[in-house]
Amino acid sequence: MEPIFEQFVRDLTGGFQVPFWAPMLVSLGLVLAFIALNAMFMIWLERKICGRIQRRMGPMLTGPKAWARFSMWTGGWFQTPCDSVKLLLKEDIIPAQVDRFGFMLAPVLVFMAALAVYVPLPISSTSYAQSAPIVVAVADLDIGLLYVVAITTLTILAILTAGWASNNKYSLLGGMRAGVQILSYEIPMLFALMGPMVLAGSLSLGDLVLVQHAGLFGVPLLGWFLVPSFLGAVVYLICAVAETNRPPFDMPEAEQELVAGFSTEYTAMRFAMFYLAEFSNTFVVCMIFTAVFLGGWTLPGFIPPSSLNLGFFSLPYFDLLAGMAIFFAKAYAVVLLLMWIRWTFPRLRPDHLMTFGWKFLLPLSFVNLLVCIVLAAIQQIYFGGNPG
Amino acid sequence: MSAIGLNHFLALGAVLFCLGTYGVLTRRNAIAVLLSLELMFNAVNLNLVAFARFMPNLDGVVLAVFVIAVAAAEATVGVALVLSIYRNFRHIDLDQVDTMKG
Amino acid sequence: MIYDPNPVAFWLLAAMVAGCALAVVRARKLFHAGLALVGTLFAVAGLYGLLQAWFLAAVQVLVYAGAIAIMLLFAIMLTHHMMNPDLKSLTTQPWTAAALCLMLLAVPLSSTWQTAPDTTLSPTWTPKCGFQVAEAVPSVEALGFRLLDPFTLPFEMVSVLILVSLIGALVIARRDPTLPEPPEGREEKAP
Repeated sequence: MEPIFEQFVRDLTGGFQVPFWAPMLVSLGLVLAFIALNAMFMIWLERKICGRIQRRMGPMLTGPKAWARFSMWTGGWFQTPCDSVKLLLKEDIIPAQVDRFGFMLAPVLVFMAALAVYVPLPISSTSYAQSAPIVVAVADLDIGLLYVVAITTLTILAILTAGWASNNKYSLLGGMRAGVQILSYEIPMLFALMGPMVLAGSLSLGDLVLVQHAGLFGVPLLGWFLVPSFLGAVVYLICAVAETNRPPFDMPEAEQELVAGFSTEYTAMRFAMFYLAEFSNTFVVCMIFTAVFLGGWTLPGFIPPSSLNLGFFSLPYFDLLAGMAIFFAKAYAVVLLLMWIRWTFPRLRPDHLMTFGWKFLLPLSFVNLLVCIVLAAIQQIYFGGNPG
Repeated sequence: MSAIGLNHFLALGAVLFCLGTYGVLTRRNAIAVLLSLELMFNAVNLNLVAFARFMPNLDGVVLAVFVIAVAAAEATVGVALVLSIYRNFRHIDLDQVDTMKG
Repeated sequence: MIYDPNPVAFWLLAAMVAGCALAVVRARKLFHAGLALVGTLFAVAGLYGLLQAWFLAAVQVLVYAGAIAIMLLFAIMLTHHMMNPDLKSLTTQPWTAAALCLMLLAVPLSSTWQTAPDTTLSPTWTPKCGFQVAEAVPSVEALGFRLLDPFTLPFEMVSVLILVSLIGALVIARRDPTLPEPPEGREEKAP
């Protein structure tokens, strides 16, 4: 991100050298703004999809009158800002018997995790005014894949702390169930991600996307790791749904059984942190799925030019914008898939959940790893090694 | 202090190890003892990695990975033992788990 | 590129390590000690990052903070009555132990401060490397090669060890259905 930002500022201002802390602050601001706006959009989308699947309209009444003509498909888009304002204006209650330190720490931790996981996610690449194509991420870490899985530990910690500090049997039960669920599904998720890692020869997410663009056995169309690592993609998707406590894996937040699980005692802004973090995590796992299995910001065989010549005006950073458009289109398609799953399947019982994770998904992910190792070996021996 | 050298990391490792020893020696709760034990493991790891960086030799990092794995195994068995003690004594105060004394 | 760790980063992380470790050994509530341990582990992972062992930092967060510490937190939750009033004294013979530990600390500290910090020892380490890995580059590839070539036996033994500890823990912690439950109502005896 730093070279692109510095080049951009230099172009705009004619040679101004940004201080070393400026790219970090700008990245932080962009990520925060994105989390907020994306959550608003996704909550509205969730309710619309829920409504349509249940053969009703979803939110319809909020929004300006002129929108009414299109309101069947796009109505009620003002619902989420109204809900956010309501949530912010609620009274912040801290029950008397809670462990104050843990109670206040938990939403902070969960939001830290939600923020931190955006760091290695690549959304595009650009070669405008650069010597070589640079991946656009906050920081394209060499260990990006491992880092992303490691950040889920912060989420587990936050949920356990929330459950324990609330001094409430329902919260404790919800917190422990959520913690165990996330821990159990972290392992098949890690192994499912190992398949693409072996195929690409690198843990960096930018490298994974570039190898997918190059194609498998020399064929670009087969490049997306969805094809050689199909089992892994399915396992990863299921584990991702479990990691983010979404139905059908939302036993920790089961509304009918545990009140609200670990977030029972939380109100107003603290609850908003958990809620925001959950939606942010949902989108992040979709982003990871897109980057690792669906080819990220690339389309097979298509390389956008770095600046588009529109006759009188040449649009710079065109490959960056095109890559971002492709990436977000794919990511939102996966989000739609997750929402479809959510409103179709019933909830899993805890023991079924554990059995499914340990006795079914884990062996499947091992099989997937084996298949990917064989394919990577064939690629190495007969097709001249991976470009990673 | 302008430059950070090997000595700084080793000193930090020593401080962490001694804090861990203090915890193991004084705490009465069995799990608190396990927590302090983890501090000692981390101090050892820090020393290993610091030496690996400054020598330079990759074996320190490899050994640190092994130490983490062994610490995981040891913590698992430790927690199982603590749960077993809790089930029999209904508390895990180490000063009072002394039925073999005398 | 000579290895030059940022002093600000080092002192911040060192303060976090020392502070959280102190909280682990001195916290009144056990859960706070557990949280402080997680803080220590994250700070130590940051120090590994400062020492350019990025893979080890990720493994530390993933395994130590994310599995071992969480397991200890579960143990705390299972063996501690919720919001238990704290025992009158958490520690036994704290002053003797403190004196012993200070004497223990004096040994390595005196030896490290005898020599001046030698920052010219280390040649360059580059994070990314090609397929032919040099000996001292701490990339994931280099680590993998070291694990498979000289350290094969420890690698396999550690996996057996983890399997053994898993089975052992299951056996030890399992409730024997033939034995009667221990009598209820024996609370923690506060002195």
